[in-house]
Amino acid sequence: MKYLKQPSFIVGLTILVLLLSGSFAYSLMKDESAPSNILYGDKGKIIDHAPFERSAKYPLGSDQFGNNYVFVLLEGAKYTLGFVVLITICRMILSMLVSFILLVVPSFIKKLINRISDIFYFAPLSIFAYLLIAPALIAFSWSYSDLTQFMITTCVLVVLTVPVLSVQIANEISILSKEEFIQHAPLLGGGKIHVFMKHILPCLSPKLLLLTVQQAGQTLAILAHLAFLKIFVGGFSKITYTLPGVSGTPVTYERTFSDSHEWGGLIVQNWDFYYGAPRLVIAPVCCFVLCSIAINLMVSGMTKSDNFSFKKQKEKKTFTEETIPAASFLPVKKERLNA
Amino acid sequence: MIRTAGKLLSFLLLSLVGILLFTSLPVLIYDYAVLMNNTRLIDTGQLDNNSFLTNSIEFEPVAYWEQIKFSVQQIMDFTQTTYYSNGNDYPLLPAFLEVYPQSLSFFMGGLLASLLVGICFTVIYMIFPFQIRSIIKKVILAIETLPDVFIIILVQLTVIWFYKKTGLLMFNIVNVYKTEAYFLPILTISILPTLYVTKYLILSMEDEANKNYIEFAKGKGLKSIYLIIVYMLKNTAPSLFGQSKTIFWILLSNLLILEIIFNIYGIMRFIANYGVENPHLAAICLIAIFLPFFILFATGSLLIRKLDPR
Repeated sequence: MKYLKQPSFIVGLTILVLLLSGSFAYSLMKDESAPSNILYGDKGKIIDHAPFERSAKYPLGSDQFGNNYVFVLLEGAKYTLGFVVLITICRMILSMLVSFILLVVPSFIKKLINRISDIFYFAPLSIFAYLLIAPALIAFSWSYSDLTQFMITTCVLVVLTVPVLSVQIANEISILSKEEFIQHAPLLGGGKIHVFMKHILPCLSPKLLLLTVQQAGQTLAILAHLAFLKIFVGGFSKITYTLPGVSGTPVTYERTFSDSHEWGGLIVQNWDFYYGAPRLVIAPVCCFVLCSIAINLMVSGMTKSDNFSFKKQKEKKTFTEETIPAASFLPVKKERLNA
Repeated sequence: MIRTAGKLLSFLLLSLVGILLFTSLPVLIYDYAVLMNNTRLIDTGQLDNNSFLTNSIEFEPVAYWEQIKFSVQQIMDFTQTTYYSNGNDYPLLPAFLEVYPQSLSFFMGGLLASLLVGICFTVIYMIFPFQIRSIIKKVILAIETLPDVFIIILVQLTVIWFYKKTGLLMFNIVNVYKTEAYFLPILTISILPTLYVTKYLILSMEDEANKNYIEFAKGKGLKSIYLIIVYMLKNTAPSLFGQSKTIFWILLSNLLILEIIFNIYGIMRFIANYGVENPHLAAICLIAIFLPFFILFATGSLLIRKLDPR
């Protein structure tokens, strides 16, 4: 792996791997006993009620049940990151398959898909996802089981970017297949599958990897947005409780809780406390930010390394074949003349 | 000119068709007739136990086609349209006219601010010596990778923190009854687009600075600030215009989060609240967002075509 020589790629990857492994390790070692939601001081004096303020034992305070918030976030990491990985991999596989179909069918279909998917520019992608997910999760949530809800969320998030992505990959493949060494391969007797596996895939794979990481970043951003649109990705349960109201009449509250402590779910669940205890919302948001920074570090490391090897190849070429002008010079010259 | 107009027309038609096809999609996969019926029963109190209701994912091309026809019909006479919410049907127009102009003003304000500030930043950037430039570029690239959610929360918390420290409220933070916050929302949604515009302009200007005519003009003894403003800015403007869709998209995405965090009841929250139960409402709102962009885009591309017939 040439990318492992790039420090920014390594740093990004390390952050993600540490988060994931920490999350799994914590869920193995977790003690199952319910925490107390009252904090006692030295002589059994009550100091604080949950949610606790920040202290040495609770660096980010606690949630409403007295769980240490750092561990809650750590527990949620594996669901959020796992979901992102699942969606990204499904997206890439599906778009690869669709791009093969696009290469076979007449090219106006590709153009049509490209033009119609321009509509994704006229609202945030999360709104489009919301319009498809919300009927099952919010508006008519009583009709659907937990499994269906999860399947719908996953499928919508996977399928949403497939049109754009598959057109992009199909374009990439058709550009590659115009290269001389690939056009000559069938002459030497290579079948279609052989040409794809041996010639196109090695050139395509760095681009695919870059696309995968970028898609992961985008999925993370959509999950954060969906959280602010009050969608629980990792399942939810409703709890109703009755408290005495101001005038003595009991008031019934209904609150929804995230089942998996997934970060987006934590944002939704604590949104009512945003002005009272902002850290309950801001901490998961910061986790999203940390992961998105890690992913962007990986992307920048990958592009740097690709550019570097590209430059090297170019230098070698000019060194050995100085007399033959590269074909790609022509359009540049034309442009300059016009300017 | 005619070719540009034809392209614009096909762009308009395809986008409208795309919006219609997409916003009707929920009807294709959910059984809307039954679900809406149950919702009405629950909301009006005729049905108080919903635990026995189950439904699954369906495939209903006929209902999909009907919904598309219904949406077109509703868009045609949108003055008479109603939308369902919480057991009642409400007329669209008064509610829509309340949310739409406000969001549009934030949006246009954000667009203008980000273009102006972005161009100013770029001109200032090009004046700096080369060593400082690379630092600034890195900082811009770093901030640009932060998610919009984080930036907007950060701005709001900064204002609150400033208020707590000094007792001076710089701007209205949230919309409370009849005191609308204007300056802060526009500032907030224009941060990321400004950075994007600046980044793009910087990259294309540095490309432009290596071209022959600029070097020739420098050799003639023209001042570099004059060159930047008169020649380079003019020549990079068309390529910035090519990025208008992306700038638009970043602004909209910021607008959504802004409306939620600053408690502004705008068009994005309107879609989120009612668009699910009324697919035709979602179509109308998306078209209402698309049309201003299309008008700007069409005038821009016709103008460029006219000024630069190539």
